Amino acid sequence: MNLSDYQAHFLEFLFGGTSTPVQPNSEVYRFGVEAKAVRALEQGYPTVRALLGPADFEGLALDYFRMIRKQSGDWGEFGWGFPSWIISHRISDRVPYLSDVARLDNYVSRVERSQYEEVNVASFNAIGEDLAFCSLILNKGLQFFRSMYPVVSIWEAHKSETPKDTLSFAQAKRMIAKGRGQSALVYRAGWKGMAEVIPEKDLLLLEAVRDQRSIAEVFGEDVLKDTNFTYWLRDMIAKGVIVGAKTIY
Amino acid sequence: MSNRQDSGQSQSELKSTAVGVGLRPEHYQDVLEQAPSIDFLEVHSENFFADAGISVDLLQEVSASTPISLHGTSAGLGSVEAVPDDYLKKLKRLVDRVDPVLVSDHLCFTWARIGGRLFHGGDLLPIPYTEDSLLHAVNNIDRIQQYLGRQIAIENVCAYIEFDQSDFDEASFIGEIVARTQCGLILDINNLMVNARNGQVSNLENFVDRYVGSLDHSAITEIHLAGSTPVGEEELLIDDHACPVTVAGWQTYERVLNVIGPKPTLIEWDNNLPSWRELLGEATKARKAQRRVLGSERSHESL
Repeated sequence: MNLSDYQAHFLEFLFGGTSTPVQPNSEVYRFGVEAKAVRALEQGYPTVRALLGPADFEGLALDYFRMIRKQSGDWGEFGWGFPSWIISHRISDRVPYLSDVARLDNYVSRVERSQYEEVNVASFNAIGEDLAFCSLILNKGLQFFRSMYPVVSIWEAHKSETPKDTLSFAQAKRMIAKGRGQSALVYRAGWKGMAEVIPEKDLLLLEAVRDQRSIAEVFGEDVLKDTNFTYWLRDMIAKGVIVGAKTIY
Repeated sequence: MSNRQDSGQSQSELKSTAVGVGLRPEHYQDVLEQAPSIDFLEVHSENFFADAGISVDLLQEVSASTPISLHGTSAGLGSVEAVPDDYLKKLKRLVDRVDPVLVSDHLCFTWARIGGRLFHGGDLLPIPYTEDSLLHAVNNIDRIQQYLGRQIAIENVCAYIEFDQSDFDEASFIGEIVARTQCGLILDINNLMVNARNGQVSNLENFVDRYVGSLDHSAITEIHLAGSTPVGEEELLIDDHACPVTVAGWQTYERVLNVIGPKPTLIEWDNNLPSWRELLGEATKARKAQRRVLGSERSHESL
């Protein structure tokens, strides 16, 4: 076996693609790498782990590692495809909201590692008389999404050692029973990633801002006419969600 | 390529008697609360590859007052595949951010292509000491040194498997790499001891003397010390960095210092971490060991 084949075969063995070890004692490396993969996913997906418990989570993590394998040198990046992969896993039949919860965990991790933009106060001078010629700037580091499940309540509840004792758990249970979901905004407070429920109207506003539509256009939508622009903007700036404004032509 | 005296080095250089410890997330709070009274801190490079965040900010803050040694675990210098550009970019960004006193990684492989796709093994995987391995290791080390514009150091690893064929023993293989790339060398004493024990070497002292004797001492930029969890006689000893340096480890350290003179020394502890205070206590033990040796071998004392 040449060197290239040896190295490829060794990795294939680590990922469980072959049960034939390259050399005696190769399984020492496989155990070590599997433990690291599970640990990396535990750190990135604490709510998923809390929902499933350590044993089921380890099984799921190993399934992912063996199927998707590791493609980056940074364990911190391992598992970024975990939320979408979960959809195709049999566990989604039992826990249909697991993928969305994983997505929220993942967004919180990402926000904590992202280059979070500072608010550029001076740029708001661009908001002039005619709101058709200016747009708002969204912080590139933040995330938001719509879920069919009460993901933020589930996420909140599982920060506790005893999730079932929390109000968030009770709320999540009620909402699941009624088939209601939540939209989540994930942002950073200091170094910490935070998630909160946002109303559908806010989500529509953020989507419109992301699409770089003018302020007049965004707040002129029928569904958004009741929104107080000044109040909303102040709140979004305070959270670092909107970081500036610019003139558009 | 010659990098050993390259001007691309960090402004600051460690004293040959410098002693440092590994900084892991469990101790961030300790370091933030009180500036560490230590000569340098070692961190695993990849843990700081993120665009931003608490780890990156903390390291930049700490690096303003304490020299940082960047120790990689993922470059895979012995891989047949070239170290990917994306990895190099992240490493370069980190080097620019913290201006480390040393950049290093391990003499092992991690990257390989399966079905045309590049994968990472996630561990320090052993390479045979052959001409072919030498060629790839030299190419990868040259590539990183050129990309960073500075010397890197390579570390001897633990290997839990034995290869049927080899063209070199480990020390000669490393010596050849150092000669061809002018890279530095990290001498990990625990790895030597683990390999000796797992390889059923009967006389550790002779083994270490022979190994260290055949290295270019001027290339050694750092010594690593660590402990491994004891196992039964029939079991493999794993280099888990989960306990204090053993008595035998300290004895071997002093033996090595006697031969090569003082070198910056790192206490590694990665699992089952002790308190920050206890970790600093291990560094104090290293200083005491240096003083014992330097007391009798003054000629080695230098900056």
